Amino acid sequence: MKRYISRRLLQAIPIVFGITVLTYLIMKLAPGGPLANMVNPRTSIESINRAKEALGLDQPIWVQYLNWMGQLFQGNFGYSTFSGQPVLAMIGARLPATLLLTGTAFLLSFLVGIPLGVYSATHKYTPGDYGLTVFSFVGISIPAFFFGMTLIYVFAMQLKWFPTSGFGNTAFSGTDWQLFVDKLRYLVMPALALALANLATVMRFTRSSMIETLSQDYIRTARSKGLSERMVIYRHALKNSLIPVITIFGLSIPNLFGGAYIIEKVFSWPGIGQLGVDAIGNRDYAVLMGLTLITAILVLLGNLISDILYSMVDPRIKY
Amino acid sequence: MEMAFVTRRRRNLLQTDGWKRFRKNKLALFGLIVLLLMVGMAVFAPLIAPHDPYESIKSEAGLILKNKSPADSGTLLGTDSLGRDVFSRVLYAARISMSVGLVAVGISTTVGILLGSLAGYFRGWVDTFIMRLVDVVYCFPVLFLVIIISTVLKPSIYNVMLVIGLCNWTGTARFVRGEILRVRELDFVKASESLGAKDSRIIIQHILPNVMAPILVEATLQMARAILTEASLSYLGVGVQMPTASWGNMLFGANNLSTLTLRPWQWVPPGLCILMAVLSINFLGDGLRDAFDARQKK
Repeated sequence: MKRYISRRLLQAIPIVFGITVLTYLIMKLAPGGPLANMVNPRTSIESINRAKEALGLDQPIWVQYLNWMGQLFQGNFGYSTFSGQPVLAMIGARLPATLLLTGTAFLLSFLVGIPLGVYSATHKYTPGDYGLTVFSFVGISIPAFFFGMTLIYVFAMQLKWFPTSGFGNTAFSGTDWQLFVDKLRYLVMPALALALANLATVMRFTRSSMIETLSQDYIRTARSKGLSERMVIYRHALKNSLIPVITIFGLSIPNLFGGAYIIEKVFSWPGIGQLGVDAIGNRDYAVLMGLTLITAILVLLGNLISDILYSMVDPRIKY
Repeated sequence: MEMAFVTRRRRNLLQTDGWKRFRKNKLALFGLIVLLLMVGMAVFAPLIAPHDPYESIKSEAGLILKNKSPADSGTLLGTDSLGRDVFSRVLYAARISMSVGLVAVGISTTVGILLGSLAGYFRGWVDTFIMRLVDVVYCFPVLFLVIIISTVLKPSIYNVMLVIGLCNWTGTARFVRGEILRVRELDFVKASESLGAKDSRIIIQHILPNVMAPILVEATLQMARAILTEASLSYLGVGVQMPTASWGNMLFGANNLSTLTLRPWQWVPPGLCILMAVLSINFLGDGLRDAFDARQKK
């Protein structure tokens, strides 16, 4: 077990290296580079060259890459070309909101998706199962922003159950509990909109995994022993059919972080997604680069954890 | 692709078990019909559209009919903020959104098959390199990667196709590699090898036909994702650029609370179109998988 974990950690090193190279190359594609904002038609060639030298842009690309990496290791992700603030601090300030949103969506999709999938599998080919199947297809097919806009239109504008957007009223006063409830009201719709596609995926995966497990010999044995159907399903089948669902843990993380971009824009949620959308608008490459790196590393960590979890839960896998 | 297959072996296809299974699947048939309708809508857009999608509609007094509801403007779905007919734009957007999906999937499938075959067939360091590349690309959320690259590149419809295509090949590559590792150990491939067949011949003649059905299924499902990705990109303003209409960028225009509340005719129709197109392709892909993908049979 320990050997497996350390091997996976070692394997992650070339991947992290690849992530930094790819990020660096993508940003190098940017027209104009970091000088584009500083140059105007009256800037002389000499001062452009001086600026290039000062920024190290006259050196070969691999030297520039190494310099950049050196800065990264010292925790310097560069400065926003738009606001001049340090990128890491900007991301750090926004990360908690995004983690709250993606974390809630993550929990929601598993806590709701798994029971629905189990229901679907144990009621195979009944109207309930067909209904849930169609629902799951709609869930993976609906654009998140369209679903979000529909939620706003129906539940915020027409029914006025939830606030349209934002992250809580800063002037709100009341007990801690009231404050919590107020925050929760802002969280419900974005979390739901972000979770839907993932929830549908979890549900379909649980359904097919459960159906497969229910056709196994040991289930037939359990039934022929005279165990109640309840016992068979929840004791024998459920645990085994949940093992493959762990792989969805890893898959969910990139989907949720990618989806946060869209959802945070729809609901004006002040997380890294909105920071990214603003950076896109401002062509702020330093911020985009920092976001790309941090997101990729979070995803890598998520995959690592889900792989390790899988190997712990399933004793059939040997390493 | 499908058409060629049908004409070449029509008798066989309609009599296969796969087709019989497919025909029984109501959701898949529904998907096929809706999809054909939408493709028809896209192809015949110039004939169906009542107005020019790029021209503002003017009243008899010469005023531009901006932001008018269906009832006020006398059009089927009302007009947008520049007074253009929403219905006509939805029709023309169908062409853009679907062709972006088609081309992107063409690119990603080609790249996926190519790299997957190379990795699976030659193994060794080629395999290691390609699979590490897959791991690296996999760490970037596809949507995120597409957004970043489209921001960096000049936004154009061709770049959108290219970027979505180049960011979506990892699934196909992984799968093709796995299949090739499996198939190349089968006896008939070994036999062909011992008869002295060249590598390229073995891959093209023996291995790829065996993995074609699942690749087609995967491509169908990817098409659904590609259309969704294009819509999201255009919604964020880095996809298909105005004035060209795509379903996604029609929702970009509705990205404020007043439009959202007061003028639902501007954003609901394109949103529903995306939903219906993606949904019917997903139904179709799932039906094809159940019917033709041998691995799924129990």
